[in-house]
Amino acid sequence: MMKKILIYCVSALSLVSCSLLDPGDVENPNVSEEDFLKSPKAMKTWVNGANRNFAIAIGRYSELMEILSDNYYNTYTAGSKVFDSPTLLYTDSDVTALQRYVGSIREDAEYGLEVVASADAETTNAQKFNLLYLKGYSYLLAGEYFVALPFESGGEVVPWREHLSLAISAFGEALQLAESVDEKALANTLIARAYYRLGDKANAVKYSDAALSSSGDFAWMVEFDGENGLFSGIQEFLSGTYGTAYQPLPRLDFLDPKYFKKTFLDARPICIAKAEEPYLIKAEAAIAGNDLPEARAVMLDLFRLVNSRPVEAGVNDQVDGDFSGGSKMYPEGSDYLVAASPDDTLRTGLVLDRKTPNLILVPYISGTSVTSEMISAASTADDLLELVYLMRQEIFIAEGRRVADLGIRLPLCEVEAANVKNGSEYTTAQIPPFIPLGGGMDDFTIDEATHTVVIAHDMNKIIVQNKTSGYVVPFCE
Amino acid sequence: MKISLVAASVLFFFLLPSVDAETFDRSGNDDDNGSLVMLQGTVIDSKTHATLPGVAVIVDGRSLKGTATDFDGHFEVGAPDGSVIRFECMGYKTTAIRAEGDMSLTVSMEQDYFRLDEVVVTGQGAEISKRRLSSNIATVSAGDLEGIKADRIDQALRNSLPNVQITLGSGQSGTASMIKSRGISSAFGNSTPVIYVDGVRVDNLNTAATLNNTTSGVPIGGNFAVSGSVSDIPMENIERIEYVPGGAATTLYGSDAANGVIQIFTKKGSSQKTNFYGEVEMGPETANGQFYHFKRTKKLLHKTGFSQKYRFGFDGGTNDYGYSFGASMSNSSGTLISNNNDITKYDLRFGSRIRFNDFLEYSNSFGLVSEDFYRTRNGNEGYYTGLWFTEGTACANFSYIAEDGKAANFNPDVDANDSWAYSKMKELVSKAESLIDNHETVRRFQTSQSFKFTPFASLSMKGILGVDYRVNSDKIIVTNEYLVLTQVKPEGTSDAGYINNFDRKYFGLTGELNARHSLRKDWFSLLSTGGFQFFSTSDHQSRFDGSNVRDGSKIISGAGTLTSDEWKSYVHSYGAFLQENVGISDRLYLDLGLRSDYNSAFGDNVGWQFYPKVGLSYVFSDEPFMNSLKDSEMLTNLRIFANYGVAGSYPPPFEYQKTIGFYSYRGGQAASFGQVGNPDLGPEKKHSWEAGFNSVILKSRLSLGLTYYYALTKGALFNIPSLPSSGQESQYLANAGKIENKGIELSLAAQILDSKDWKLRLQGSFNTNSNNVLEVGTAVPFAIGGFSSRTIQTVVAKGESVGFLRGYKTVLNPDGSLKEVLSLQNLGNTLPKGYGNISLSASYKRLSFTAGGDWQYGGHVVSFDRMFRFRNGLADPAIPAKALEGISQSKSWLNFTNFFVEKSDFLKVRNIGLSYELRPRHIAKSILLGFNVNNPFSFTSASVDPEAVLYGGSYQGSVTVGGVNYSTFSLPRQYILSMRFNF
Repeated sequence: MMKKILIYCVSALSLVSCSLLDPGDVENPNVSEEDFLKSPKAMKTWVNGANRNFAIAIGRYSELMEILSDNYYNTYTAGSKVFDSPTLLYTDSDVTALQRYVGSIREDAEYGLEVVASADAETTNAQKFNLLYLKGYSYLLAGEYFVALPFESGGEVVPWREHLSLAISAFGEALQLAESVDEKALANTLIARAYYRLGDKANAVKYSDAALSSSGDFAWMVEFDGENGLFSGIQEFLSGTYGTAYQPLPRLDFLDPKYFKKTFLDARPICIAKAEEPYLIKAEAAIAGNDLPEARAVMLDLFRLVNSRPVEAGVNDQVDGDFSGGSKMYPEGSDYLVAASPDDTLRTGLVLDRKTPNLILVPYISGTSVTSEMISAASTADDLLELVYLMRQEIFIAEGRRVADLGIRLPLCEVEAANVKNGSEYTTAQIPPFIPLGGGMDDFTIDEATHTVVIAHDMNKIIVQNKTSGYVVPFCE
Repeated sequence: MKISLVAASVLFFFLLPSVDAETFDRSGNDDDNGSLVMLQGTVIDSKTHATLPGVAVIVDGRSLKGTATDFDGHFEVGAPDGSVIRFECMGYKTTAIRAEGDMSLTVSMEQDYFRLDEVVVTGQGAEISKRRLSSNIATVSAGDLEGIKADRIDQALRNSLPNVQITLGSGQSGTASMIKSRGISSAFGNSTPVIYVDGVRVDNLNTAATLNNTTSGVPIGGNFAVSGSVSDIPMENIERIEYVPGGAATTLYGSDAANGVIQIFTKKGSSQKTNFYGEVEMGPETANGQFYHFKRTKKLLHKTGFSQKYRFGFDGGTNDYGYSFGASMSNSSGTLISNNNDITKYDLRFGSRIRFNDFLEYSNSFGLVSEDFYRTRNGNEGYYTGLWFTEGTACANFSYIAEDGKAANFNPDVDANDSWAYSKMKELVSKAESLIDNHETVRRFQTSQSFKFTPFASLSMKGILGVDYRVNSDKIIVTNEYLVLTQVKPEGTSDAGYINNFDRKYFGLTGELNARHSLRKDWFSLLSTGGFQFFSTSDHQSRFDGSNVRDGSKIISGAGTLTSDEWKSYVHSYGAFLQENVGISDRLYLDLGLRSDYNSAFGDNVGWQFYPKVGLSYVFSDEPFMNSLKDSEMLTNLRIFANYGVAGSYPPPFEYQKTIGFYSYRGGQAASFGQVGNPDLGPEKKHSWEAGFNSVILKSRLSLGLTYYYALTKGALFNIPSLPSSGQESQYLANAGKIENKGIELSLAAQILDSKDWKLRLQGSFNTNSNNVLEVGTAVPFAIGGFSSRTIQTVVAKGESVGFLRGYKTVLNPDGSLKEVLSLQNLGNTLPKGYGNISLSASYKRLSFTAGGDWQYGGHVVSFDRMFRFRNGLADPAIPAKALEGISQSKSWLNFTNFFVEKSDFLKVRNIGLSYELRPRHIAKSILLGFNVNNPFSFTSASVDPEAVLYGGSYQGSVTVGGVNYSTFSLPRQYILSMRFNF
């Protein structure tokens, strides 16, 4: 009997004392949604977060859209190789990621405008403007880069044109809250861009004029943060982690790298809207209206603006290391002559001398090889239109804008297609039939003896030749 | 949570079976009133007449009353007159005698080659004979391990567990491995079993950590060889290892053991005077160059290395206490130039026991490992990565100054470079490898403290408390000189150097209380086991990096930029279990069990989980009508068994929470959506059915075992992609899938020769597995490894096996011309359809020979280096020239991926050993001379090593299947001469 009592006592005590061995509650390292909304300055923090996400998205769009176009070739195995071809599969994780950015920018904005704003009494109009323009930009990305996307989480898939209409409406709301001239110029330019892509010449010109009347030289940048290791996706391929992995089409060499790295923390911003764009829209509208003198006048104004933009000196961007990861020879001396296609003449001044120890000059808002003489000499509407597209290509280089001018559109991604009602109708990318495949857009021949480069295809010429195809040149009916 | 603990404790208390002083153990009564007699004698092997040390001499079935034989096989024990004395020794059949007055005797023990009746612990909470169990448990003895010269536990077990497949992902130090049996039961979590050392759960991470370090700075992606925690579990002083497959046999481990359990038991001393041993192992090691395409690869990257190891230990004790100590220090310079795989290890373990009285015993073990090793770049680290540079022909991306003074790029055909170019290549490779500095350290401490209370022969209670503390640091130094040399940065760069530091601190605490009550009434016996288990793990990781670092600096202090990050994870698990093992006529056993547990990783809507099991074991050969067959020795033992049980795997901690994420951006906090969260997140549950038999036939010369298993993982964890239009994090975890595994496990062991002087034994296993994903919920096919969908991925999709290879496929016309290119095709399963191992041991007197290996068939592997060779213009014999007419190899290489998928069948001889024992009594009790070769031969279907497939994992603890061979070193060949002294 004593044994039994002893057993029970020892057992009970040893078990109860176990609580002393409990190492404490599970420590939760995360912040819940509820805790966040109750915390001070929630809106300020949320807007900063939305801007950060937006910057990452713009960096990734620029990174992937530039190699999808003729602007850049990826000499390295890191990053997408298939976009370079271009091969656009709805199963490609990069397609999914790009589509997800559209959703996350919109959801960031809507959550901020609806949930955080009501939880934080200190919400300002400037913060609302910020979120509204991000919301509009998410629709703009959908309307410029995709065949079709849902408007909302899990919603029905809607063709791209309707996204542009929503973009216009969101930018319109933002415009109501705009306070500074740059904010007004930004909202007007983005509305003009959406109308431009929709082919609505009148409204595109109207909002272009409004933008320019607000500011004739504005440039709206999204900022990165080198101190926190946040560099744009494209900078990593132009001057960052992947060195000089992206190499420009030789005719664009003088514009590269737009996002240079002079110091280790140099995280260069990306321009998402600038005064050059309203000029370009107006010039194209004038050409479409066959008002060539007006087009020339606008283009000369634009030429002056571009030439007034800052140029960074002392950039170290030697091509010596270009072969790490790639096997394609690029021109590396200023004595190289470049022809835009086998039918074109060789031009000088397009390639910079990057050999050690030469440093280069790079325009980082915009630059162009088009001269006032070339504008004046262009006699036909098509000649001018080709110059406009060359200027668009040069001015917007490394900003991810070129694919929209080429008429290329991404498909709806696999996950969305499998889980929404009409998703399967939009799983094929739009690649216009005139786009050379198999890396053709990046092709050129180089003669190291004569220092000449001949590019295989002049895509600006091809755009103009196919202006009535419906894929490109929105004002052309 | 403390309330739950106490509640569970109370529950356990009431679960304790009532103590009945009238109950009897199988071996005798509990009454100590008989007069004490003294027994002494020697225990010998019945065939060889060799004396047997370390044989447990147990009085009245109570391990606390007894002793063990000394080095000369001698014992002396006091016991009540008339009591039963049992002699137990691993590898021998248990022998019993009855004490009848003072006795001096010689006990002869017969070898038990097949160990069907031995006592095991794993999966049962307390000791139990295998015959009572409804499933197979594999055991590995210290003697089995002694013959294998392995430095890590998974390497040591590779050929010892007949139904488990263990492969090491690369030849680099500390590499993660893949341990699996019965297929892959999860498409989310790693297949590595949970591992216990003396009842204490230890860190078994076998993938990269969340905040890992790679030389390229690229985050975890699964395509690097990384180090894991399994590689540095202390190896000294191991007495026994048990393995049970996941399913009914691991039900008592609840939400933690779907992949099975490995239990390591360490030595606690003997009941004899102190014995010492010392051992020296050393020898050269060479790289395995058989898989290299280019002859020059081995010359460029490898050298002959040298390994050395010194071991020392002792053990001893008396009936009342025991102690055992083992320590080793070792170094291997590795086979890479610049000693880039150098590893130095110090390994120490001490264990002891003390018997306070007839009722109470205390035992402990302390293990300590200190390990330092280096790794070089591998896999998808890009730029200059030695094997990619050579075998992947990335040398073509590097320029050099040719003999004529002009810049040129290396010829991708490494062997075709002229002697000038080759000398420049060698210069670059030698310098680059010498500048690579990736140094990893591990400091690990384990302890287990255990009390055993045996108030009656019929009742024992055990409490275990222990910890595993592991600190792992990884430092990568990338200098400007390296970046300039490898043509990443231009000449003169001084601000691009960087240092990355990664620290991981793991602390695991385990506490367990269990009680075992045995009851016997004539033909009826009942073993009741109840217990409560608690474990907690804390995993704290940090990165602290410096960039813009001046060459020469080894620390980040003074760097141009400092960045850091932190990650934490905690798990608490509580579980109670109850098991009843009913025996009828000592031959029919019913095994019933139930575990209930709660884990802090469960979602808010998920409560306590229940895991039942039911099984049957029937020792058919013990039926009286089988006696004639047994007498003829045609059939010595036949046991049939069947069971059903459930075991689980808990999800990662905090994954169930919806969170807001924070970042620093432009001088302020930046908030955005964090985890999507899932309040319904629970463990995946593996429902397992099995049936089979074990037999010993033909005069105990042949053992044959066969098990059929069927396992269905319900609520399998899948990373479900969120809709991109939701704007939320790209995926969230859900119990969405069903995964099926089925197959057979066949084990065969034959004692071909068994005489006084000659012994010859051959054993092998044949296991099959059919793996199929039955349901995926709303998930679309998703990748668990590989690269982009355009290149090659290992993918999970409905109707396919987990981790099949998906990529592009080119179809040819009969004349070899190109017919069509198909995207996203199933190019082959990575999981093998069959696997097993084979071993041979032979001895003549004191000369012994062993050889062991393993094999697999029915899986596939893609050679990514071969694809790169094709991309860079080299001809590939698998692709006819006609298919390439008008096609650029560099542009269309990915279309031909199917031609680079090869069968991963292999037969690998892992170890060959020869040893001879000397007994020069005036110098030492014995001297064992040995010569071992590790990894001597590999026979493979593929042109590449199907085992060198990078088990880095896509995230911490992720499922890995291998399948992609990419710039990965194979295991080296090691030649080891050893000399062991026993004093």
